[in-house]
Amino acid sequence: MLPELPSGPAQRSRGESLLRRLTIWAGLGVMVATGAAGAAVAHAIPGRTAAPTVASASGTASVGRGSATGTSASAGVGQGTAAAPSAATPAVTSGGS
Amino acid sequence: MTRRWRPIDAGPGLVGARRTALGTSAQVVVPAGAALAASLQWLDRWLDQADCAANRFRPDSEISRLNSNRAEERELGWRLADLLQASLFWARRTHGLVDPTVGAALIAAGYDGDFGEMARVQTGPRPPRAAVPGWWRVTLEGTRVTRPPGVVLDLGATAKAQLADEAARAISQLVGGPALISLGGDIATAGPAPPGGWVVRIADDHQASAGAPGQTIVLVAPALATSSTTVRRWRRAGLAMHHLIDPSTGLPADGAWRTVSVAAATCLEANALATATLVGGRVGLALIEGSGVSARLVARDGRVLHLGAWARFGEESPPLIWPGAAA
Repeated sequence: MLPELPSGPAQRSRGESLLRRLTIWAGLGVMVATGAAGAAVAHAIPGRTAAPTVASASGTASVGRGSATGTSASAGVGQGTAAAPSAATPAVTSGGS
Repeated sequence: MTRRWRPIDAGPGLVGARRTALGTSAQVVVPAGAALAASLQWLDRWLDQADCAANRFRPDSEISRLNSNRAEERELGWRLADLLQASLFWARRTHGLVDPTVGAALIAAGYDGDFGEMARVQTGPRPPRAAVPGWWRVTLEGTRVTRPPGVVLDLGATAKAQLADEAARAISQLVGGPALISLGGDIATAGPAPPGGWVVRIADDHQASAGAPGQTIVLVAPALATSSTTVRRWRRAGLAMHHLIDPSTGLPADGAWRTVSVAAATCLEANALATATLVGGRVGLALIEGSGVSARLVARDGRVLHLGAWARFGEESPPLIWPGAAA
């Protein structure tokens, strides 16, 4: 059944925004706890501030480069097993329009 | 699949489609077996509703009728009022770097019609250097807008991102699972991520080929938006023009960055911060660092700066991107 087209403005609140952020962090927490390569991701969990990094060129990193981290990425989004991210096809491209 | 939509290769276990909408492209991706056809039907109606309200290049749209009306006060439909409210909110949050009163400056620069039909080399007068009227001169109380006569509103900097957020939530509800919506490269997701995550390519142009310079990431954040001065470019009076206006000069932004991508909790926030950084340089950087988001910025010379969690990964791996600070 189709959702009704909205007939009024979306209800936004600070609470909703906070909930979305908390959902992200909760998901990341589960990722670290359950991911096969969670250690790699654990190092990347936010909470401390680091200086920005500058790369020398715009490389084209593939999803699977670095097998441990690639695996943790897959586990981190809920799959729970080591996928083959190197074969992943981008669903879409984000760029200027 | 309706005749407007064309299937796309969205990766293993996913199906997707693309169509032209809102002067750019719309894409939807859902799990294989989900109700894609019903999603596309809903999106058709919903996109048409938004186009009727906020497309500045349609003479019969509500925003065109508003812009040509000299009365200081006017009652708006809920759709346009809602988009304008979000635009004014982010104008304030970005210290005016993302300002909806840039419409007249865009027209003076030559962006006065659908970009696909616009001349890429124009002989008109050089656009004047003058600050835009300013978002603070527009007030919205409920659905009643008040602004000085002659102010031309353009919601191009925020509307697509806001619409992407709304559509992703609606389609996720419809299919009962994950959904990704891209409107001109502004990406919003909703629901649990699919196995393998949302794999997204980042480039200067959202219509670039797979081999174009950029980065492929697994998106954990709900949203990712990219703004760039490398697209929608033309020449006027011998000068290079693009569609991102600096409100302080009324001219196309001329900063250090050419493309900025931001991952955030909403596509609206991501897009506003990306555009603010392209326009406002250091002020935009401060906004990004103070907002707890992740960002990838490409300078004019191709050097890449990463902020937030992106700084942990750089250009190589792992490309797991969420909003937040680096470890």
